[in-house]
Amino acid sequence: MALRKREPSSRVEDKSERRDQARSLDALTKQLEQGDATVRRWAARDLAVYPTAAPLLCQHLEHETDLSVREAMLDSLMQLGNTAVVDGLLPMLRSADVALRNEIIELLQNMPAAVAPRMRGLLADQDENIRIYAIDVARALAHPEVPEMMRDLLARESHINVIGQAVECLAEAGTPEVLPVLEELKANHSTEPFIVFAVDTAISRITGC
Amino acid sequence: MSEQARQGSISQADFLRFRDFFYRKTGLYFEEGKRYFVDKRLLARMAANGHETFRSYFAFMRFQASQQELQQLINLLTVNETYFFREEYQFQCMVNSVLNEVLRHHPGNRPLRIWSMPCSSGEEPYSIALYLLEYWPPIKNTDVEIIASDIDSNILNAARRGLYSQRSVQHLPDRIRRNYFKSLPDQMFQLNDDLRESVDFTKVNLTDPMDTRAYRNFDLIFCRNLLIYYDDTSRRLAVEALFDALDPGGFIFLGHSESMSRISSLFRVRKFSDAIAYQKPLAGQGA
Repeated sequence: MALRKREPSSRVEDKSERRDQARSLDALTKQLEQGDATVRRWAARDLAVYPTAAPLLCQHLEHETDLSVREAMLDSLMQLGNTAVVDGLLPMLRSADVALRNEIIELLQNMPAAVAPRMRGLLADQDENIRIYAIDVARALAHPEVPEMMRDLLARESHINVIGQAVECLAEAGTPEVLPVLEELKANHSTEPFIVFAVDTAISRITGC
Repeated sequence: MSEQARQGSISQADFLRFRDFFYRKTGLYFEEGKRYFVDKRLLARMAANGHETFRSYFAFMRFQASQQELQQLINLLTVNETYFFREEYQFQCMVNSVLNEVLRHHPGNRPLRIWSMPCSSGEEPYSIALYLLEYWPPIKNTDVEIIASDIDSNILNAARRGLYSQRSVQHLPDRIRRNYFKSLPDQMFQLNDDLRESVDFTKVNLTDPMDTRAYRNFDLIFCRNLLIYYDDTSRRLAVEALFDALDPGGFIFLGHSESMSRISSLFRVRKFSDAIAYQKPLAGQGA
């Protein structure tokens, strides 16, 4: 007993893997419904190569309780990263499940090209919570229109919490073009110390002074 | 060189803006004492990209769809040096806690399996081997396999040769260096054949599921200072591969600046007296 010596052929060189179940789209769809979490997890992982699987994965994600299966679903959705994924995920922002909402926000943050065309709609949603979640998405979105999106939102927004979130987003993502909106905001909310402080911080970060 | 880069200054507000952003993206937080280190690298990247001001450089980097510039910065701001017994507290944790716990639920019909990924020029997997031989008495009654992988085939060839500089071996106790290394001219040291043959080196891309699907049934994985270099999508794929590679109850060590909790909820955080490790839950245990 001791350290095992290297064998002439590597112990992991054989990359073939025995699969007990078929990997077609139809078969994987059925496996997502099975009782065994391991089967569901592998089905979720392997669906990443089927671009049309987005609605199916989104539908199961909402009800899946096993953490390892959920993670596999989220990873496959991130790999697919298409508009169908975004459209499947957006309704889940209204879910009462906080963990699910946070997962959705994180996923959307990583799909800038697919999510950008839907952002303005989200930022204009009647529900202020959805507008706040949309700002959360924008905060980490690598997309050049983010400052403009926040500027347009601030020009019409009246809910104080949404305003605060948008200003915080601009502290990181703001460009000089948003400075007039921030100045105006400060003047209009001069009695709100929280907003004044947030605006001053954002202006300082944007101008570097 | 740009004006701001030539002047060599990043304002305090610029620094704070960058620090908050970088922390959100990587989990790495720079204290004020690191200002010079950070500023110097930011100014170098501003100059390399032809940006006159931090503001313009930051907007370019922040909104770049590929996030390549951010990756460049991560590479510059994370010093990655490899040598024997680096972050030794994790090897201590391996022999004092982790492997003993693994043995308690190990099936016994196969050797313990340890994966070092990425292994670079071999210092890490050979450190594992040395630590087991020197500081883990159960090695006398336990078979252990060590697999070491990297994406770079040239570095794997170097690892197989086991040839190291004085700098690489400087943290090894003299006794270990004398017993396991042959001294060569020019202050070089070669690991003995016996130890070199105890590590199986393989080429693998951790983010390619086709590549990683043969890597299964590991009890312990060292994956230090790799995840931080991936973008979010690749990082999630890599973590999935690590999860699949481990048997239930198996452990992972990450680099000291990395945290699995920022990436995945699949693992349990385990705080041992020597170090933190991440554990794949045993059947019936939640993460």
